[in-house]
Amino acid sequence: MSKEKNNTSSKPKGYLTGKEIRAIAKANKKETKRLEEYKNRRAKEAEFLTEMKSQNNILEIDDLHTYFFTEQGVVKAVNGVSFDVPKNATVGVVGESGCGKSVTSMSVMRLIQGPQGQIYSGDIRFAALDKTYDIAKMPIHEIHRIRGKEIAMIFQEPMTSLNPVFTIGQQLDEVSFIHNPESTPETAKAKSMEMLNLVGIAMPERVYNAFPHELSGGMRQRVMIAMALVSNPRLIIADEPTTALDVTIQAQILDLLRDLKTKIDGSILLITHDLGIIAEMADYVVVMYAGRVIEKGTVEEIFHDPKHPYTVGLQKSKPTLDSDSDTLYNIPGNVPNPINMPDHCYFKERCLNCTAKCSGDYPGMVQLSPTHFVACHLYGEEAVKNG
Amino acid sequence: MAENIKSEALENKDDDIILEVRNLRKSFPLKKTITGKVTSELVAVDNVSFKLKRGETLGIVGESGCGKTTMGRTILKLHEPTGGQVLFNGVDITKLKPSQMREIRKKMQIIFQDPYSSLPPRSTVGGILSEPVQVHSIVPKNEIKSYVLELMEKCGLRDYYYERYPHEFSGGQRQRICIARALSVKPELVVCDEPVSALDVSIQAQIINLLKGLQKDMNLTYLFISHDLSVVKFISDKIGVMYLGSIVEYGSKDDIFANPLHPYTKALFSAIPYPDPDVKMQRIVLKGDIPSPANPPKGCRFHTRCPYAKPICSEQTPEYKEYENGHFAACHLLEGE
Repeated sequence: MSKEKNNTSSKPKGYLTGKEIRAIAKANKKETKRLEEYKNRRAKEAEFLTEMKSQNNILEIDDLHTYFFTEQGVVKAVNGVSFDVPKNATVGVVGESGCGKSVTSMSVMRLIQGPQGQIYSGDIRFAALDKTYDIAKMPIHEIHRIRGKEIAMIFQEPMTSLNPVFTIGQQLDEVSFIHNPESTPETAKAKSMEMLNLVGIAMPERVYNAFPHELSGGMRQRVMIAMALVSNPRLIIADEPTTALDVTIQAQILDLLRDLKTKIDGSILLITHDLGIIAEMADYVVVMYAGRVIEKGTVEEIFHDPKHPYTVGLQKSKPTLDSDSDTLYNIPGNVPNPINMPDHCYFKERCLNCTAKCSGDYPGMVQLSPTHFVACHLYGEEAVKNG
Repeated sequence: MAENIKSEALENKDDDIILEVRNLRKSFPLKKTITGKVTSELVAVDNVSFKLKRGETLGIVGESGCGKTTMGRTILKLHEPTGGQVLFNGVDITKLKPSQMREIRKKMQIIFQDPYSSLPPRSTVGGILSEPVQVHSIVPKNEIKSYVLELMEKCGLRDYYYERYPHEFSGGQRQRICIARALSVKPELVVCDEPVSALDVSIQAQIINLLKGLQKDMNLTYLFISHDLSVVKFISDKIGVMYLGSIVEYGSKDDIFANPLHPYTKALFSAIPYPDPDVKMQRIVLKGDIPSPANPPKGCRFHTRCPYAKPICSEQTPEYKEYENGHFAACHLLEGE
């Protein structure tokens, strides 16, 4: 609608010349080759052992960068994310699609699809029972020590994450065989049945012998949860565990997850876009926007005293059952293009409280309370002094 | 032919009601004998009746597989109804021939759920929006472009998008194109089939506000289908709750939210997570899954999951009755009171 925009329309933005495309491809090849070699290297255990910053945490993500090297340029899907998962706590990561919340969890599991996707830098420290590993530095063939054993994952789409040609029993038993060398077919089955019981499946024997297509969506998600639990993990990553399910089934699964946390004595990293689920389930909340953490704190701090304009907007723009206003608050504009991110705050174009400072550098994390952090110039040290 | 329609319309004219659905039924054959006789069928929409006033919004909520999308499509005659009547402006469209239907088509439009697959990838936005205008000759040929540009502005699309292709847009912008396409033929009734469920929260709010604004400007009537109760509550005047093919409760928004009658509606309301950590909901968690619509339970279809089920519920189908003024429900528990 603005005049300037109309004038630039004759020169289409975002198209690359052949020369530029070739230069990008060359640079990508060099970088991905180096990172792939690092990923597949042979290394002594000492190289990827580390120490936790705090003994209370089970997972510490420190300045994680995960990039995708695409033909259009480098997409910084996760761009300097840091947060901790304390022991016996549920941490909720919330954000819109494309904000990097799933890529963060995939990085922890080292499931990023190479060679395009690579963990570029940063540390992921995980406290296993006796040792502390730096997952980001582990060679990929060592990762089975942790993946599926100490950290288990529940995926979004239970339909596509179960193998259609094996029975539920075979798929559950397989986990025991892989992670517990002493297991026999009998003990594996006993363990699988125990887990099916734990997730509240009424007829475990029947489900054990069934194929995935014979089960409904809610049942499949229960099986996925059972599968995650077989190896007694200390951390469960639930990546949008209820998005594909109906509300009444969602209520069942959320109840189950809440019960489980006390039963297994572990932590949950819950990734979702639904603020309602976060409020109900999480102890700590991490809000992500365009590949960065913009605010983190306890669930009370984030919901009762949100600081970042995006967090505030996100909460206001969700209609609730007892809101009566006529128009819904909305955040104008769209998430910026992930290639060529600006230097200033990524939220600047959509923010209503911009100051002159917002055109400057990307805001650093400001600590407001022992647990509450926000990345916004409105709460910089000077701003706090002034008012 | 056009006169024929008009005279019929005048007969049943009730100027407030734009759409009336009477005992609508849609079933899909599952098995046929060699002679083509249907031996078993899946009843997707069963005995649905409601009236919709001009300028109002009816929200239809329900879980996946409850037949809400099929109902929306059957009302538009995108599926041929198996039984019942659909009166649009007083004309029973189930009996119309395709050539007569063509006239009505431009009065009723649909916005689909997935903006990624409902736009043709090989035409430009201008082409997508001017085609229906041309086909239905809404404006003279030489005015089409200016008409489309005006429409694009109304829907929040910049005019230089005219030459662009759908893949260049984000989900929210694509949904705006879909909305503009539906409105390009100046419809009276728009069926919105989950228009915001594929979008992010911040974009959802933009689209909902756009739909609400356009409704005021163009005096549109919406049939708003969604599984998200909070969205439905925000946009609707009347709400219908569907379970396994039939409407179990229907009433004005305030009635339904202040005083839900059917146990399914109550459970549905309590299942929504509330974005406040201090609110601990008294949740009614329903046991089990939705039964298969191909083999629905006898009696009340909800009795297998209903926490208050009585013996009668598994034997007789409850009657769909008016319990308060304009508040309908189908449940045995209410009859005793």
